[in-house]
Amino acid sequence: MIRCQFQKTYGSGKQTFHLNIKASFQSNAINILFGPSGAGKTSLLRLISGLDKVDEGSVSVDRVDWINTQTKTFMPLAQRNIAYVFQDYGLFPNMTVLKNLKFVQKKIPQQLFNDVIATLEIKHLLMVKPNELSGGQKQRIALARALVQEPKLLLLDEPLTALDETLRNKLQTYLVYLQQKYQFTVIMVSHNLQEVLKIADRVCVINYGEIIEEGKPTILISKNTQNTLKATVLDMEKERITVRVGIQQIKIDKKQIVNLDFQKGDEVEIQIS
Amino acid sequence: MDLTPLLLTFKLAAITTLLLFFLAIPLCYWLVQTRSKLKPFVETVVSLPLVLPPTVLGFYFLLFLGSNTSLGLWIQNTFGISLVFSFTGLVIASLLYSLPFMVHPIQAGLTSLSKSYVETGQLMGKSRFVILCKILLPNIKPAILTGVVLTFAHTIGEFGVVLMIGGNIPNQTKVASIAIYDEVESLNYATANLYSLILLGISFAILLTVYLVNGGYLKRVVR
Repeated sequence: MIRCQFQKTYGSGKQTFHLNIKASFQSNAINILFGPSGAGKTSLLRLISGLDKVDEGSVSVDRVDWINTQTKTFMPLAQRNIAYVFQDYGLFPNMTVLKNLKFVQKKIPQQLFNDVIATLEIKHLLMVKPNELSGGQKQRIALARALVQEPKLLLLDEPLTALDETLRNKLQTYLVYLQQKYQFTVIMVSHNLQEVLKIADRVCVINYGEIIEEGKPTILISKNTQNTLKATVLDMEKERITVRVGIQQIKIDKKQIVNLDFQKGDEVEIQIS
Repeated sequence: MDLTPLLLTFKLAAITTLLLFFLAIPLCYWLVQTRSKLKPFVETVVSLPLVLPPTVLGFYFLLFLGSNTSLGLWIQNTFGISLVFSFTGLVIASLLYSLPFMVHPIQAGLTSLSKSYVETGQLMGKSRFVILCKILLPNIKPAILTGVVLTFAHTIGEFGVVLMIGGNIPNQTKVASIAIYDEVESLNYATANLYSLILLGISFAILLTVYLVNGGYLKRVVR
């Protein structure tokens, strides 16, 4: 289990952003940080990785303190065994794909190497340089490079956002397959509800720098009925109502509502089709 | 025509460029990575030679490192070298005078690279040295080439600092720019013209090479 409890303030003066995090992530599982742009998802990943330093608090992984400001613990980045796929992929332009992979460690276990290459379908790209690759190919290579690092923790910063649906579905399947086979912990940033419901073992909903809900993805779904989402009524106008599902706000026409027996602030169920 | 001033000029330019390259790389890396409040002061000092008259630099060099100053005497007694009216002094003055020409292009090159290169390297457990040599420098080759060539060309063209610190000692400090001045003073325009033409040709060729390489023209010709 990865437990985070910390505060961090970015910026100064009027332009500040506060993160006040209390969250836990499941080991050897796919955890998704779900939230809108600017909610603090990337900042949270950077603080867990140690690329940014927390102001106060702690991060522990399987009961080992990685960061603890009270005991002044800060485990060096190199000892954490983290792989991080950045939004811009961070592939080294001077190296071919193969050299990018081999740069991680000289002796990558052959079985892992073959498995990753085959699963992500990148064998034909090994001698190509990153600037000759498409966005989807770069994403697969970045994921491959992270995986051959044999990480204990894989941090993915919106790795599938820019892809079309077919490719996104394919990569989601690859990720689930490789995570289950090699048993590492994934914390992935996403603002795609369907992605959360499809691949997450656990979800943390973040908004305005705070975790507002966490648990199994089913916390976003009604327990009673399939294909329905749990929502909170935010506003009721003459012809439509506004509800919050996770961190997303949705407006619904009153004509589509079966039972209008609720008030502002009530929890309701909405059916997705 | 005496070729010694030309040879001395290229020797000075080559040594200055080589030393500055190794001094500028760690300095640029620090400037790009640091969040220190000292950064703007260091950047100002590095850029000073761009706006300062060379004679000012030469004057303070004489004032602090002259053989009648305590620092100058200490250097002379400890290392057995005099920094004024010597080739060593010329090299040190050139290092200061040409510093921004090496630092600025390399710093700009490093700044243009994505932060994620360094961070990915750090998370892979690579040392700063490996990150610098294997990831950062290979990706800023055009910037390095620009820095090296500008430093070399700028050192060839030095006059004010050289005159103040080196004087006009044949085979020691009389570089080509001083030789041209000397020949013009003696009304030997033909010799001055020869020196000038050689410097002009070499400077033009060097700069043209940079533009051709960085603009990718040579690659297109090769293909």
